[in-house]
Amino acid sequence: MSNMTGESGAKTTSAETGDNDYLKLRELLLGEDYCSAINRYIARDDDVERLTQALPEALTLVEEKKLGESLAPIVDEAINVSIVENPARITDILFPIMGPAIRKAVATALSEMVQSLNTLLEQSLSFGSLKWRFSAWRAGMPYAKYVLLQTTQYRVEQVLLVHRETGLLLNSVIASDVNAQDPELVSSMLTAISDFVSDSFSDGKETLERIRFGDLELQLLVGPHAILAIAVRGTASDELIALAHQTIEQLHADFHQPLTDFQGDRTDFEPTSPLLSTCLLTKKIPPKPKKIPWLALGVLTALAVYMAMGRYERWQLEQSMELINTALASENGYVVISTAQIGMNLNADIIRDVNSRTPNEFITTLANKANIQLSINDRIVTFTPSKDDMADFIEAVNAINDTRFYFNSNASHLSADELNKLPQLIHDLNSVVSLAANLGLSNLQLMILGFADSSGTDEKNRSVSHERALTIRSLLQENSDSIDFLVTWGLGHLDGDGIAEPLQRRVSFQIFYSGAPSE
Amino acid sequence: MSKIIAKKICMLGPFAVGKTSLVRRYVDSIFSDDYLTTIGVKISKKQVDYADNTVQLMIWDIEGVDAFTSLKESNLRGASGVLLVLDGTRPKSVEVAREICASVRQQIPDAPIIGLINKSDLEQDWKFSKEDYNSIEALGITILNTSAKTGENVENAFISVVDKMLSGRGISENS
Repeated sequence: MSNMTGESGAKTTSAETGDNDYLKLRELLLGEDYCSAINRYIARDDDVERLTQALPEALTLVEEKKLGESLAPIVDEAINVSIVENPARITDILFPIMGPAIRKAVATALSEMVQSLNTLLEQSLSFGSLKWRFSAWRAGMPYAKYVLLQTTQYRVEQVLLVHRETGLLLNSVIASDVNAQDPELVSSMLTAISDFVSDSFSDGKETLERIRFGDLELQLLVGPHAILAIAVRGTASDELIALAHQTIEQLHADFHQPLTDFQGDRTDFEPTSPLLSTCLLTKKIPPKPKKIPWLALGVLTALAVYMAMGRYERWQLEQSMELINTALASENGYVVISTAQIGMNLNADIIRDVNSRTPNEFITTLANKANIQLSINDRIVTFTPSKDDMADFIEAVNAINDTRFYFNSNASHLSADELNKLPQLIHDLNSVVSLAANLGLSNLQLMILGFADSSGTDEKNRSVSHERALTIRSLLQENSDSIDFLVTWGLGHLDGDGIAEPLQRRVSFQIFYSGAPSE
Repeated sequence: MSKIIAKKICMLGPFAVGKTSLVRRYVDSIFSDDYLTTIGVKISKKQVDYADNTVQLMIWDIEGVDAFTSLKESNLRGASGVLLVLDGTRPKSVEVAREICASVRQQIPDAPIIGLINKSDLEQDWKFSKEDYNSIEALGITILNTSAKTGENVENAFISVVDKMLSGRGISENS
């Protein structure tokens, strides 16, 4: 230390001191050591070289574990520095490793999803799903929740009864084939953790109820004197939690005194084992070898049967209809105009003789024989022949021939009352014209005959009677185009004294025609 | 009839006085010079035969207490005995010990307290003054000099706390 001070002092105080003085001082201070130090420095290069050669061999001789331990912090630090300095390089290195790892993880997740989808699909078309839906409805919960409940698997691995105040284990039961930690330590540690959480987050007012790590879940049911800790692999169901609540309540009821007086003697709590064991529930869905979708099969079978039945029925129907058709066609007095099948019905249009058998008479027996349900809508249409055209014609002719127009004395015009007869006459005449055409009658002619009473001269009477006939003719011609076959004749006074005077002043008619209607 | 009696005892004291080392020495018969601070609590189990019975000690090794961290009362709950550990090389630990002692007496008045002045293997470096010794004596607790390193008095310390616990109530009441 003092050497160093001397040296630096010499440097700073006298810059102009000669090299000789400096060398002398160095020789005085270091003597021969100086030379050897220089030599050692030079020889260091050789050492490094030697070490480089010896290091690989030396490393193989070192115990593997020890080497790992001593190198670990250095390697850690090296990686750390490397990442900080050049993050891109580590990304490049990790890329080929991360890729497959991520792909594998994604593939696993996907396959799990497919698996659950499979289950869902299987469930959705099976008798089981219907049963579940019904049960869910009965339980008054949504179907999804019920399915979750049904498919949740769990196993209670360990049940611990812990004294709340001391954290000491009172009793514990464990499921078979489970490797559990020392229950005494676990229970104490649980209490410590629970206290820690409670103190840290709720000022000791609330208690820890559940711890979950991985697929293991710890349910802590805290009573006034004891804590029931249930280690569940999987997800604890509501049913289990409810049971646990019952158990801790039961324990407090049955072991109230031992719990309050607990001084570390566990023998008092040995009888709790059966009660604790009730919580060792396991819910496992047994692997089903291959689900047969009964419902789908059932639906398909029903469909096939339905189709087959439909086909058979159709065939049967065709057979029956064929039978009926043949029967109808071969029946005496029957003419089948058309047959048409509309759905399950056979519509046959038939004309039959009134004297022939009714369809009921022979088809019903046929149907009974062939076991056919039959309903016959037999409609009898009676053709009532219309009046003979000829009769109509004659009737009209007679009506015309019977028509009379009466006139006042010495008058050739018609009174209002008499004019009222005109439309009927025109109607009858038109009928006669059309019927005559229908009947092929020819030479139709209407003779209009005018008459006069006895008063006046014969000359005068003929003139008046003719005028009367002409009046009617002109009236008829004015009112109908088709009436053009009129002949007028004034006959004067012809009637005997037996006929009253007013009846003598008249016009009457006579129809003439030739040719007879063919029968 | 021999029976197993479970008891909770707590290791209390300032930081780095050797609570964890004492427990390790007692439970696992191991000592290591490496210091790892305890966070929260660490629990160990040890069975000792006492009279005709077996006592199962659940030893709660509680993190050290100093001016900045106070003793969590919940950790003391239900404890039947306390081992209060001091460091002979650190006179200030006496003051902390006094506070802890008061706290324990308030919360669990029936629990016996055994004071352990640890690191007796370094006795030449102990820096306790006469006043310090006086204040320790004033606590009214049994004092033992222990060393987790050599194992001196470690067994005795635990045995004596068991003795005080059981001769006080437990055994006499149950037997």
